Amino acid sequence: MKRTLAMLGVVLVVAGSAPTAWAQSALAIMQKQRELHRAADEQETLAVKIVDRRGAIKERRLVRYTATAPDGLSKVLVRFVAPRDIANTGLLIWEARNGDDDQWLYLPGVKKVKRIAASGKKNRFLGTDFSFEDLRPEALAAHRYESAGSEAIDGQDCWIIEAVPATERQAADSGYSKRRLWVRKDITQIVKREFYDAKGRLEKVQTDRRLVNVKGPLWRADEIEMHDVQSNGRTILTLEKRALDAGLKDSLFTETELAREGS
Amino acid sequence: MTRLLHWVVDHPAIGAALLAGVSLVLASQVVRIELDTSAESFMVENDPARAFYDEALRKFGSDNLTVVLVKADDVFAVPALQAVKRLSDALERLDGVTRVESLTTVNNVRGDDGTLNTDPLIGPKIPTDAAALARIRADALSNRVLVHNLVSPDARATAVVVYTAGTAHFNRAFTVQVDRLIAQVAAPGLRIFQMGEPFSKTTYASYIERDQLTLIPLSIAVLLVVLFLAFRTLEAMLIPLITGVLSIVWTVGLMAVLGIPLNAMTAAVPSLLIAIGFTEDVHMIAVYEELVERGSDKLTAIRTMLAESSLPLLVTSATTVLGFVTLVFTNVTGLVQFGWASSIGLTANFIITMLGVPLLLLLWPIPRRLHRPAGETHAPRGVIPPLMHWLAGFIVRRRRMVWLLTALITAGSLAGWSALRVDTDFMSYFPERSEIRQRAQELHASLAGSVTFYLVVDTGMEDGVKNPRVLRAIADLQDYMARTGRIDASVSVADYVRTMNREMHAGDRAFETIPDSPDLIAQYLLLLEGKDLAKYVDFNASTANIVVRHNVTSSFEVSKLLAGIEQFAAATFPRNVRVRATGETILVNNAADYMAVNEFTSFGSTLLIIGIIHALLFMSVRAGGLSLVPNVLPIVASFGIMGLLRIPLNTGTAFVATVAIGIAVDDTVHHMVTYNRQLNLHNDQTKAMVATLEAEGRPIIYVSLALAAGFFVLMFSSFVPTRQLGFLSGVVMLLAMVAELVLTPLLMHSTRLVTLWNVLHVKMPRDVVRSSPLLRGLSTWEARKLVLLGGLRPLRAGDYLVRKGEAGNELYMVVSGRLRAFDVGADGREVTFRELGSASVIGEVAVLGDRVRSAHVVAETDTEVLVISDAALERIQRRFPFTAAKLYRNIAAVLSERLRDQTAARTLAEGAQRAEEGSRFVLPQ
Repeated sequence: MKRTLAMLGVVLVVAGSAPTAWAQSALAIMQKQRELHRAADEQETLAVKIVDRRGAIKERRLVRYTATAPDGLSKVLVRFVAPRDIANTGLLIWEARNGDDDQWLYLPGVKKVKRIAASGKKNRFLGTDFSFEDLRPEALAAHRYESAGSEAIDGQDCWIIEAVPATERQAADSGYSKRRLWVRKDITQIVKREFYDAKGRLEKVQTDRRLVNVKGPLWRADEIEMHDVQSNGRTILTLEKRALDAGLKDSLFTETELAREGS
Repeated sequence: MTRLLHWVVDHPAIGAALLAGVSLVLASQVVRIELDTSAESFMVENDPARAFYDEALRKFGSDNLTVVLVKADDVFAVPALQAVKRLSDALERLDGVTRVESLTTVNNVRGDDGTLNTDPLIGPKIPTDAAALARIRADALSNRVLVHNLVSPDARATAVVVYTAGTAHFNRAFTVQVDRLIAQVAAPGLRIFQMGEPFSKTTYASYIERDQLTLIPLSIAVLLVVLFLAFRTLEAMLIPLITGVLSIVWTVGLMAVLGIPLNAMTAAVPSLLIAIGFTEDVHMIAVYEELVERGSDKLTAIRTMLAESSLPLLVTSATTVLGFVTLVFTNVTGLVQFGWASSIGLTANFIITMLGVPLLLLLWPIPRRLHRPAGETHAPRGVIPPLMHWLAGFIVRRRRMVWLLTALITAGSLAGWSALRVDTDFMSYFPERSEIRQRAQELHASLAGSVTFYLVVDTGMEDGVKNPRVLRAIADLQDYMARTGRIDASVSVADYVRTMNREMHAGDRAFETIPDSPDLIAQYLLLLEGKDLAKYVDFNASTANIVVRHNVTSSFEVSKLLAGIEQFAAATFPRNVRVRATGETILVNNAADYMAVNEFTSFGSTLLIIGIIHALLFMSVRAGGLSLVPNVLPIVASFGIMGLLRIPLNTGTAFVATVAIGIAVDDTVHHMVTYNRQLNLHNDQTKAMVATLEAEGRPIIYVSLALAAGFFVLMFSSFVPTRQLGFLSGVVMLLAMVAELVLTPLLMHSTRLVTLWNVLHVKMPRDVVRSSPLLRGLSTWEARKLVLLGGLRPLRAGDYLVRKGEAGNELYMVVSGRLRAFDVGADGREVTFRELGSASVIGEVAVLGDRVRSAHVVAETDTEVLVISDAALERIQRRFPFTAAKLYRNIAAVLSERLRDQTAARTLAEGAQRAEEGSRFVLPQ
């Protein structure tokens, strides 16, 4: 019911603004999808499978804790569980509204927490095909969204929305000149993303699979694949365990907790 | 074949139409020829080293490097950084660029007590405040990955390093684009230029083009002028040119049709065709002119010339083609293509020469200079005949000295061989003061050379690179390379780990080391993983890559350097770790060395082929071996000269011998065939030698001088390989000339050759062979051999074959005509003993007993007799014992028959006498 209402809202927004402000309607869809699928906190155990273009495989496992404050800003703690030599290596991220997130790194080998600079968003995340910026929540204020038609994916009708950096800062920080997003019309969930590099060439394609309706209007993908079409490498995140709104304490997202091994 | 050629001479229109038709068809294909400047075609196929290289490229990306050097008083000042940024940004956008490294693209790891910064060294905007610039300078100059590699320690030079992966046609376009970008960012106080593989290859190509377009035409012009001066006839100059050009058209057209591209080697085929093709043409024209001079009419001269030249031409072409075909069995695509192109070209040249020269001569009016008033006897003209006459005398008189000199030259050359070394040095191809060498030098002096290779460290196990022992060994190996003074810069995963470890310890230099804990290394690598590190460690961390930059271009020096590196690595790394160098320059140099050695050793097979063919041709293994001496000697000497002058053996210089042998073989075969013919004519070795030198000396001297002059012109090239080729080829031409004029006659003087050619041409009527008691049981073939080892002597009616009382040691057999044996009685009356017709044997008693002739023998009609001296008999005995056995049996049979005849005659005579006496008694008068 809620979902139907939400849908109706979107439809109304789209219908009401057309044809003068398609861009706004695309933005509205994006806002909607961010609102709809937000949980207060979340704990996931993910298997990370990195496959290079020749089929060689590297496997890692990590636990990700996310808490989102009422102001919409998230805190994320990522801790590796396997393989053994990098176990307990951790990363703590405090999202900032202006994009200057705070990040801390813990290396068990030196037993030190280091604050790390956050501007390297376009860098790949720890050897995967995901960039840091791919893992952040969508920065709605920093992009311009335009509708680019509809298309069915796996039998599900989707809006296609093109996102381009809207601010000079975003343009400089981001590795992408453009992204194309496929948003399922029924659940307002992004199921496919195309990333275009600085030269305007397709660089990566992210596909979200095995969608599950975890709670209310909230959907999650249990499998996410990022395919770098230029290098032909892929990273596949597979969900092993998930807990939603379990009441994660704010104290979990601290340097002290980051440095605590074996949790 | 002669018959076929004569037919062509009789039907010139058909031959000409055939030549023109094929030429036109192939000319239309010429434009379709492909150009191949790729390095791959000059790598060894199925070479494990090649597979290893390809695998390294798949793992670590292209090793094709371009360095854009930016020099300034301070590269950390805004103008220089601005230029670097603009260049880097623009270069990243160029097609074919796989990776750009510069001060504005690299990340820098910097840590203090609480933080770790892995941001780019320079942010999206070049800062203008002094503090920020100072910070950048300090960061960069303390980063071991950057110093020497991207920025010089004195901060006066920095580089934008660009890795590219492009096709064969990529380099030139890319170089032009880079130059355009450099022009765009040019600013006062900055010196910016590019250097690296694409620029080097482009420069190389432009040098070759310049030579092809200016110097080679000039060299051909000189060749033509010398030929004209020598022969003073236009045809001696133009006919070789026409057949040469047609040969090139056919060859290039066929290459296009067969998909053989023009590459660095096949591009030399036209020059080869001109050089070898000219020799043939000039030999033919010389024979023709000689005949015309002696009074032959044009058609007869052409027909005779063809009869005399076709077989030697076939033999020389076949040997040369076979020599080049051996290259087809090598492992280098470029060399295989050269083998095909040259054999196809030489075959085409053979056909064109055989058809074209007679047809062109037919068209050409006989030069006025050669016309002689009827009845005037031929007199040798010019300086060459007397010179040859003197030379022949000299050779005969001073043969010991000639041999001694030959031995000395050979010994000296072989001494030079010890200094001969195989070396391919790309950079040395360019003159000292050339732009490219100055750039290479400047880059090397101010930062690091642009020549690169990979040192692949394979641990054979996943995560093996994370082993501290391996990383330490990598760091030690880098230190070792720096100590050699030959390596300018090297970057490895160990540099990143060392830097990371230092920065995790607040920048304390004491921690610029490989940590002891493999786990910590794994954690550092986890942080560093990504595009930056992909060049230095593979996906599973089983293999590391050290990117090495230097300025050593000589394959000889590189091999030495690599041997040192491998030795150090073997002693430093854990036992299961394999360290191996690879890279395009290494492979291409290795292949070039391999090719040079291959070209060099292919002479072995070429010589063998020539030897076998000549042995067959002259029906003597000894003659086959002897014919090689004048061919081998100039080449032995030229390699000796290379050793003494420190000219390295490489694909270019090894080519010299290839050309030389092609030409020398031509000369030798013509020489030997002519000598053999002269010998049969004169039956005197010295006379034959003089005649041969007179006939063959002119073409040999003129062609050699013309070719030498043509080659020497190439010494004016600005391109060192062309210069060396010109010099060496010129010298070899002159050496080959001397060897041909001195050694070949000397060798032939000491042997008597029977050529297959002659055997095939001798007219020995079959019925004579069958009916002659001397030749009974001999095959026609054996009979011909016998005829050739002996000799035919023509007699006019009335000529005496032998006179009574003369000493004689020759055996005769009447081939044709009729003779009469008679004695003159005391009363002066002639008493005829016998009429001797065809197949009769004369002098068999004298030849076995060395006795005095017992009767006169005179030719009744024009007669031809086969003459066999006791020396010839001895030779036959030695060389063809089976034939000799039959022959002696026949002589014995003839003798016994004669004996029986005489006994019968005597009995008859005695009976008659007795009858006479008896009648006297019975019938007293």
